[in-house]
Amino acid sequence: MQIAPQHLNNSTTAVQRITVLAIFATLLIATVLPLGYFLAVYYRELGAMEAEAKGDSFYVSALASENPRLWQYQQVRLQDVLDRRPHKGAMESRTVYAFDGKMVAESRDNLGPPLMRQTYPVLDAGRPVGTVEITRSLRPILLRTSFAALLSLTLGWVIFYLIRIMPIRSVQKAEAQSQRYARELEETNADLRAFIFGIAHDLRAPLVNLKGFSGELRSDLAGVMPELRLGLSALSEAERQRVAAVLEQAVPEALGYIDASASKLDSLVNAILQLSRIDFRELNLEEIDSEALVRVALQNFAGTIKEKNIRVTLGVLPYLIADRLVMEQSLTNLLDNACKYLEPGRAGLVSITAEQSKDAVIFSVKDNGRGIAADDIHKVFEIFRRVGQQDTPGEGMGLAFVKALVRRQGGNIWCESVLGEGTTFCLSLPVEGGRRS
Amino acid sequence: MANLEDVTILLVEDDPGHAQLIEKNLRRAGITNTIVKLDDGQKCVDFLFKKGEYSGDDHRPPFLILLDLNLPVLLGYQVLEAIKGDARTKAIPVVILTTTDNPQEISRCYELGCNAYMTKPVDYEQFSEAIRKLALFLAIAKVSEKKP
Repeated sequence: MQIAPQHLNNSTTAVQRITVLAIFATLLIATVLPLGYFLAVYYRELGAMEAEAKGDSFYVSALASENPRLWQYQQVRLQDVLDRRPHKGAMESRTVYAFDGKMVAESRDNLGPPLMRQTYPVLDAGRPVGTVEITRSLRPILLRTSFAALLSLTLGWVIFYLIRIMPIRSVQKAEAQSQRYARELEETNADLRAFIFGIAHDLRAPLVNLKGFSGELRSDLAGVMPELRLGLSALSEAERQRVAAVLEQAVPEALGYIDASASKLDSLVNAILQLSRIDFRELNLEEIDSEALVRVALQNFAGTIKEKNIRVTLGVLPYLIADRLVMEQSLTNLLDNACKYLEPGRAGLVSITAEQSKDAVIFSVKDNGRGIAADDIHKVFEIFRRVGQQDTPGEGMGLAFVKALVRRQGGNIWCESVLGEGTTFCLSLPVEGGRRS
Repeated sequence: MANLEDVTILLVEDDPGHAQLIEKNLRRAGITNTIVKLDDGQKCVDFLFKKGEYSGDDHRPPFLILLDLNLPVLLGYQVLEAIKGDARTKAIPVVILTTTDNPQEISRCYELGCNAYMTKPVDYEQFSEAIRKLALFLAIAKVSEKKP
């Protein structure tokens, strides 16, 4: 769970990026499209108006060439030219101005503002003598443009939806689902832990009876033994031997087996309880000098180290925020294993090093011991499982315990080994102390 | 009329084996008091407050209660709560005698006012030793109770 925040951060930045991109694309579509449309239509309209003006100016120019002085007064003919409109043409006003700007003739439609104008000169032998002006209302173009803008906005929204909302929604959905799974998993895990803890506990009550009554039986038997021995003398030799065999051999032996099995079961139950108690324990995070901690831990093995002549080397070990108990127990356990499972007849070498990354410290405990076979390596962290030669005492509990401890603090443990050459156990712990939700 | 000297010990334990082992070891350690054995939490509460099947009884309150935690009907800590929450029974010493050594359970019992908490050791020698110590504690407690 400790990776969750980073993962969330990543998806937040991704969401932000996609949002910016989507907004940009949407704005682009919503502005460029109507603007482009407006400009295109506007210039086409101007072109069309220019063509009309040019046509009119052709006729007016002819009038001007015919009668350069009086053309301005030929109202009927001028009006005739201006009134001549294309079939189903646009609403427009056509005006002819003299060279001095005085209006000469006009054909007027009713136009609403804003207006657009286009002029074309009236020529007499190549000399401008007036202008023809065509005026149209911008309203139809603006109306069409606003319609286009509306369409663009719709299109922009669709695009925004497609690249921002839809993918994010599915990402969020997937995220919510994985969070739900994680929660369910955690609940199941908690249930399972409580269940195991309960079972281990309940196993204790019958064990008290098993051990208690076998003890009672033994002491009762010992108590009446003198009387029994006295009574035996009344029996025949053969009978006496049979009874003696039961009383002095079979019964103590049976009690011994019952006792030993109960003890074994008790130690298993205790191991399970110890293991599951890790999960109920609160972490006490503090700053820890791991080098000092390792040196203290090594003192526990001073005898073994001297006796087996093991060479121990320490790398630079950092300060970190961690739970002291987690660190002590896990490192002590790894050191214990390293010193315990050395190859007989080879000078022992054990090294403890640490590597620090941005958010984790990885401790390595390396030995040149007997190693672990590749087939067995995945079993080393299993509870009650012991691999390799069973010539050293142990419950098969240590590494399962270490793993539970380390994971409790949000860390991890793994192992690399070559049979006959040595083993390296690596233990990673978060620098700032692990948290578990 | 009940004998004033007859101070009883109340043993609340649902496992008959455990009850017998506890009794045997108490006897061996020289405790001669009457031991009243009850096998569920409700019976214990009924006995103390003379309710249910014990209504109309005229027994004296026990001198000490040995209480298991995992009991049928009423759990041990519920019984403890009832005992320590009532002025009539509040003063009776309660020793929790159970297989649980869960720290949370222990602190909850002390919060509820138990006078001592003992874990039943699985190992027989340790078990006997623990009961022997309890008997010793009883002897001292009895002397101090008789004084006034």
